[in-house]
Amino acid sequence: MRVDSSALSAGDASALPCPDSDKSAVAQADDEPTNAFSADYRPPGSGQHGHDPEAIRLRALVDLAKEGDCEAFGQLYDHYITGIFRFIYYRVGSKQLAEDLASETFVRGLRSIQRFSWQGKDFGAWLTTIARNLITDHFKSSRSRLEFTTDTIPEGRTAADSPEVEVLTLMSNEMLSEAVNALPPEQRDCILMRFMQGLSIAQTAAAIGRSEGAIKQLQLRAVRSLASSMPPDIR
Amino acid sequence: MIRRAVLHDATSFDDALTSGDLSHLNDDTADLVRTAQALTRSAMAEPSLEFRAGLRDTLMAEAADVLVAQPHAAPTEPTTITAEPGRPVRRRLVGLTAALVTAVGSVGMISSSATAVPGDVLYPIKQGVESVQLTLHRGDTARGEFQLDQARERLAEASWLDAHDQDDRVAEVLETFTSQASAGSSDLFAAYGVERDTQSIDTVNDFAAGAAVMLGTMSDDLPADAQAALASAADAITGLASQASVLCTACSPAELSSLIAAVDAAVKNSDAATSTSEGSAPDSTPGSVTVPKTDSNGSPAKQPAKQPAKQPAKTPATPVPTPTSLKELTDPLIGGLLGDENQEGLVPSVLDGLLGGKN
Repeated sequence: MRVDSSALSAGDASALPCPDSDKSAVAQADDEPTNAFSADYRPPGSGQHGHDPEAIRLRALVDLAKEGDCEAFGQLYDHYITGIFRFIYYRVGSKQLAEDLASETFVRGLRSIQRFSWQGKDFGAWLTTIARNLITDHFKSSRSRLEFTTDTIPEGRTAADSPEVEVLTLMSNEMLSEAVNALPPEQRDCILMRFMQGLSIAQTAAAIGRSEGAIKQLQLRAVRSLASSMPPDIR
Repeated sequence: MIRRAVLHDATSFDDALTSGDLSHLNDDTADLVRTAQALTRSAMAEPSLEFRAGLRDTLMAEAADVLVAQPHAAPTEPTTITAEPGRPVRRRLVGLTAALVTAVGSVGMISSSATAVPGDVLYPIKQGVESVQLTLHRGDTARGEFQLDQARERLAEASWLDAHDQDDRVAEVLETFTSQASAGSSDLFAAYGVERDTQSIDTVNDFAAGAAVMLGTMSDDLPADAQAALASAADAITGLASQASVLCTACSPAELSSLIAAVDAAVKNSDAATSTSEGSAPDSTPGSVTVPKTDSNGSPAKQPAKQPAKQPAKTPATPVPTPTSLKELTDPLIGGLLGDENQEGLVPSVLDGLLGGKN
């Protein structure tokens, strides 16, 4: 059953009406867990297509955005912004730079989404590829070193809810970023995508351009490398 | 051997990460899992609310200019969605789509989505409905038959897209077809293993025969990725038929001759497009066919759809996860049908069964 095009073209003939942004949607954007492997977290893409309600919703949003629905793109932004920000932030080590690059990622995504095709791709992996390319361009075009600005990065360990969590966890953002960026490039990106951003194996494979088996091996090697460089009390 | 062991370790590690179950791991691997979990818990950086809201406003303002309403494909059963006064129709659709997958609601929209194809606004609703319906089917036989029905629907969608020159979506639909066909047949083989009702095998063979006909009629001018998906689907059908013949030699085998033509055409088209084969999709798409493992009695063991296939020697070879050319997919397919130095092949094994050469 197709939707009558006349129902969709009400109002502006060149673009669909974009209602005022729903601030509650932004504030509620993190209703779903954004940190991989937390107790109530279900890794993105873990369900088979057709059995994962969230995956179906995201696909519907992408298809609607491709057809010109502004609010659909807004909801995609709400879903992906945290992961994209974390991927960039732990790669570049500066919150201000991460905001700039994240902004550029979504602007480019918006301008290109109507050319996006599902052929073997995942939308989140596609956005990550854009971010990855922007980071590469940034390091090529400047002599920037990995710098940390004390006014943007929380120093020391983040607050823990319980002594057990404090013992088990938590590296400062600076330590984490330094350790990850010391890895070989593919291992680094695998760690950033899988554990900071929260992409699934399939999404990471799509973003990096390797098979799922290769990504599993890559992540194991990367974690081994990181474990050997981390302080014993962190592991 | 070493490579397989390394992949096994990597898979065990990833499985433990996902499930949180470390009980079956050795100490070293368990420590690595805890390290990964610590990494994840440490990565708590968030964009500020001010930045998040500000960027959203900027994007929404630009989207009003950048996103242009795209024309739909010609509807076969046009309908009009009536908007309430003052509420944009599109916004209702976004909300409804999101709500329906978790709480099946609007009966009218559900019934209207039944004929949707990929690219239609209502197609996600159709997928959601199928997902809900699947959960309502209990038992291997019911689930298997329903999933084969879903696979038939995917094949019908792919044929429609092909006929209406919407080739860019065909590959994905065929990949879903392959997945659903494998899952459905796996359930039916499991049912046969328990109940020994040949109807389960006949259902798979009938499905394979019908699918072979439809795959054989798909056009030769599909894009390269669709050709690869077509060959992978054909390979999966051959695998199902082969497995069925192994499990039940007394059952009538599926007629797959139309698949040969489809494979030949796919090989020719792939050879012509070999230079564009770089950047193939991850191995979760073409080639990940699940063939039920059989024990010594020929009873199928039910396996999750995403595990690598383990096959007895007489079944077709496991497809290469990331083929660099279509020939790498089709050589095992032809070997599976006619036999090669590594396997007997479907046709010879069926003849042996009919002539009483094997059990």
